[in-house]
Amino acid sequence: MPQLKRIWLTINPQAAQAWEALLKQAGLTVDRQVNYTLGLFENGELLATGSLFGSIIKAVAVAPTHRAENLLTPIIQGLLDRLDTLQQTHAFVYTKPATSRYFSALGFQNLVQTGQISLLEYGYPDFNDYLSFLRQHKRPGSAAAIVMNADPMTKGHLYLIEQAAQANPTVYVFVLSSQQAFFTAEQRLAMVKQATATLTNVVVLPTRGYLVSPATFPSYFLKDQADLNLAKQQALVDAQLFQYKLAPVLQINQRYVGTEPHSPVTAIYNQVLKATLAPTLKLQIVPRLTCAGQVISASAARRALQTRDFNSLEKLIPPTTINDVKECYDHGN
Amino acid sequence: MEIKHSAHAGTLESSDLTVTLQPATAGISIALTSSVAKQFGDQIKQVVTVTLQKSGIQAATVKVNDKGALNCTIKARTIVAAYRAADKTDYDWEEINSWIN
Amino acid sequence: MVENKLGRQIPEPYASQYGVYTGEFTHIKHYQRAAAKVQPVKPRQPKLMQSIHDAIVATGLKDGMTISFHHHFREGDYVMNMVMAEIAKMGIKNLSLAPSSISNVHAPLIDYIKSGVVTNITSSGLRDKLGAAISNGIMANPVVIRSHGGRARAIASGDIHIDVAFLGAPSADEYGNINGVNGKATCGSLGYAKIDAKYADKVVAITDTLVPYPNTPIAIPQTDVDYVVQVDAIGDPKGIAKGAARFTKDPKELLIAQYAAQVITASDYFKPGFSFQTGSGGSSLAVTRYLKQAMEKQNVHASFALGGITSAMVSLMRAGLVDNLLDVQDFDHPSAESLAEDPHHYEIDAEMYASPLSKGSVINQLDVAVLSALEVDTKYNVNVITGSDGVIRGASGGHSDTAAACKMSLVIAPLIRGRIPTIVDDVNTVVTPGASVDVVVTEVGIAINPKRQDLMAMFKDLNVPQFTIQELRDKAYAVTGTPAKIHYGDRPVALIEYRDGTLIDVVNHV
Repeated sequence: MPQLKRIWLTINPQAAQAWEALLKQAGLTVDRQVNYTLGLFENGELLATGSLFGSIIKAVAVAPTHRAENLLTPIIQGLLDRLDTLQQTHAFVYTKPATSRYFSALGFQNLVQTGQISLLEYGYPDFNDYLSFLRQHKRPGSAAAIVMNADPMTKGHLYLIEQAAQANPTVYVFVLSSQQAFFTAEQRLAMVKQATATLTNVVVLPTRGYLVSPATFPSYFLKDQADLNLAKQQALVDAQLFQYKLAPVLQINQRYVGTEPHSPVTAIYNQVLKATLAPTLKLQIVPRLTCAGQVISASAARRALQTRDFNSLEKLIPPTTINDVKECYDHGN
Repeated sequence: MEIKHSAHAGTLESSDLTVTLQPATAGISIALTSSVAKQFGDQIKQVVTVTLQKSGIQAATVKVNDKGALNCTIKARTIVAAYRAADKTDYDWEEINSWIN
Repeated sequence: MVENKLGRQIPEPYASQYGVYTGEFTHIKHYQRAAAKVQPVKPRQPKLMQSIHDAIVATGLKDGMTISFHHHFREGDYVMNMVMAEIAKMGIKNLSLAPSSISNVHAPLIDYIKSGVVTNITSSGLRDKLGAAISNGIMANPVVIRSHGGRARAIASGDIHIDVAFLGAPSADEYGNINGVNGKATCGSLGYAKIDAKYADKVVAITDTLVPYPNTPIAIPQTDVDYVVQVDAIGDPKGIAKGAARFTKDPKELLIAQYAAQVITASDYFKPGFSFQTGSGGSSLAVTRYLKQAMEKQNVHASFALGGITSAMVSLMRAGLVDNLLDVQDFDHPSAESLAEDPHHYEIDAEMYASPLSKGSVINQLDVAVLSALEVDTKYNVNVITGSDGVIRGASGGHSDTAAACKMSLVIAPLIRGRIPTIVDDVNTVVTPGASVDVVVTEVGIAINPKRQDLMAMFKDLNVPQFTIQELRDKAYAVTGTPAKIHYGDRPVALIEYRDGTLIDVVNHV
């Protein structure tokens, strides 16, 4: 019987080498962005592996010589057990369409499938729960949508929301629920709600991992190190999930984004979004708000915070949230 | 017993199942995926429903992901999920024994 | 709708077209053997073609013809997909596909069915995605499932007329002498392909190992081959022949094997010069191992072992316990090597192996056969083709042939698989009639078919738990519950031919 063991990639170079070899053998690119890895070993030989990055299952591979021995189940069960001990009852898996059926057979639900990528989920609360949540916040009639990280919320974000709010009966603002940010998901959601409190046709909602998340669009969180070709494929996953699964529920017919002069990944995302959404959804690209010739960006705001340059900060952050931003930052440090 | 929050029990292994319970306002509704749904789907739903009712649960949204489990396994996983969802650990074995077979 | 002897409903027009099953040997009649149309090859006329495309053109393949392949490369086969891709590209349509069997690796056929390149199929079996697609009704015409012996019969009697056979050849010379024991990807015996070579009008040998003339040993001779094509690879050696299977450690499988071996060794058939056939499953291999122990202990030698040859059988021959191996296909690499090396390991074709309409096939000389099953019912009928959900996913193989012809057939199977009972009231699909099945062996005990009163007497004192088949079913249902009946649609997706050509059952879409 093969033994299930944790592989410590960072402190056991020998095991890490076997792990890399197995991934390559299975035709996967070696992705070291993982924080928990399991291996099935028999007589010292690594037969199968799988990893977690947050609650995303990835880098799952079975040695070609040991296919059809049902080694996937103990690996996936082991990863779900780990999530269980972390009180995580939900998992995503990002895989190739050819292998998605093995996950389906284990009870994973398909969320979206492009030519290159399948995204599935397992556990609860699940996508249907999220859709019920959205239905509860649905306003009558058609609407526009904006997806933002708001890390932190800037005048630029507010400007984009205001533009959409003037032109549409309702605007749904989705704030990323990812914890891979400077400010926590709860803080960012609160900031956006506060800044838009006076705009009565704006509804602020969390994404709960279903839009621009490390699951739907991992490259977004790699930024500079992202492989742009891969980013394109991932952007398609995200765009299709939005277009076919989310937008119809809230009668969204427009999506607003800002122009993207700096981040190539975000620029690609906008490009793919535009191509995918047409013709059923309209993509509105709004020129970014500038301040002294510089576009206002969250990264500029973070830099100002880190250097405690409050003069610059005030030019970037809406007055309604500036104190909260400072406070959150001070508490966090 | 009442479901206070979502809870689950079981594994993905063959001959096992996972039972997930979520709070509901009225009635027991079951979404079943099973490798033996065609031959045993109705029986599986029946066993889960009866087991929940015997545990005193009248309302639940249930997800069952079955890999060909036998009835004894289905009952055991359902009971555990129910107790977890109700935040109870004081298993009343005598009571359970009186109806489980 | 016509009811056959087993109470299975056979719809028209198929009942009239094929006839319905009336009994194991009631339909064996004399016939005119079919023959191939031959285009003679003159001196100095080459057979080597530059590409598969050129070979297809040379054969004159046209819309509506019948083409065939062999399944000796199993999951490692590249040939069928390669040839079908070229045929599709050439725009040829409406073909009948008559391979000896179809594997998971042939899932691309689904596209060729959808695009109308393939409109009829006959095969021993269908697996995985293709089986599911056909069960869901993607074909207008039902697939005809034939046993290995039944296929040989159908070809010899002209029921199947193969216009062009594309035969993957582990090694070949430019003049078309082929064998399966040399080359980059060896499969051992070419027993099923030999029939195609003999009866097809045009035969194309496709090889990745072209050797100088003459390529010996000669399994398929140049006189049966029209064209030769060299390609980079005919298959994945790992998928074609695996190493010797590991001995099972599953206690259930071991117990079944032990009981089966006890039944065999306690029978009157177990005496010097006896013969047997075992399969390639875990339990089956274990039977061979247990048999070996008993043969050694009691000094009983077998005259031959038959079938699908495994390394377990080879090891018996090497130990001097079996005098000859009669080999229609090899299940693993050591068997293929043995075929190359040992003169007592002899390659036979499918007609000699199992055809009910030959002048006597080897199975007629067979004492004991050990066969597997997906389902066995209380009438001893066996299903090896549809899963418990009614979806086609298995193969007929030599099951009904061997069971009918041998002196004692054992069907070995676990009582339950997960929640699925193996012993049931009625099998989903009958492949082998209960009349051919003598002993059912499970891990809880055996059931002897009451029609074999002689065996009942023979095993009166056998130290293996004995039950009626109904008792075995009850034991299974007690654990799993009684399964609900599968709801089929009304459209036939597969006709199950008995080995004699009549219809024993029909599978409808699900």
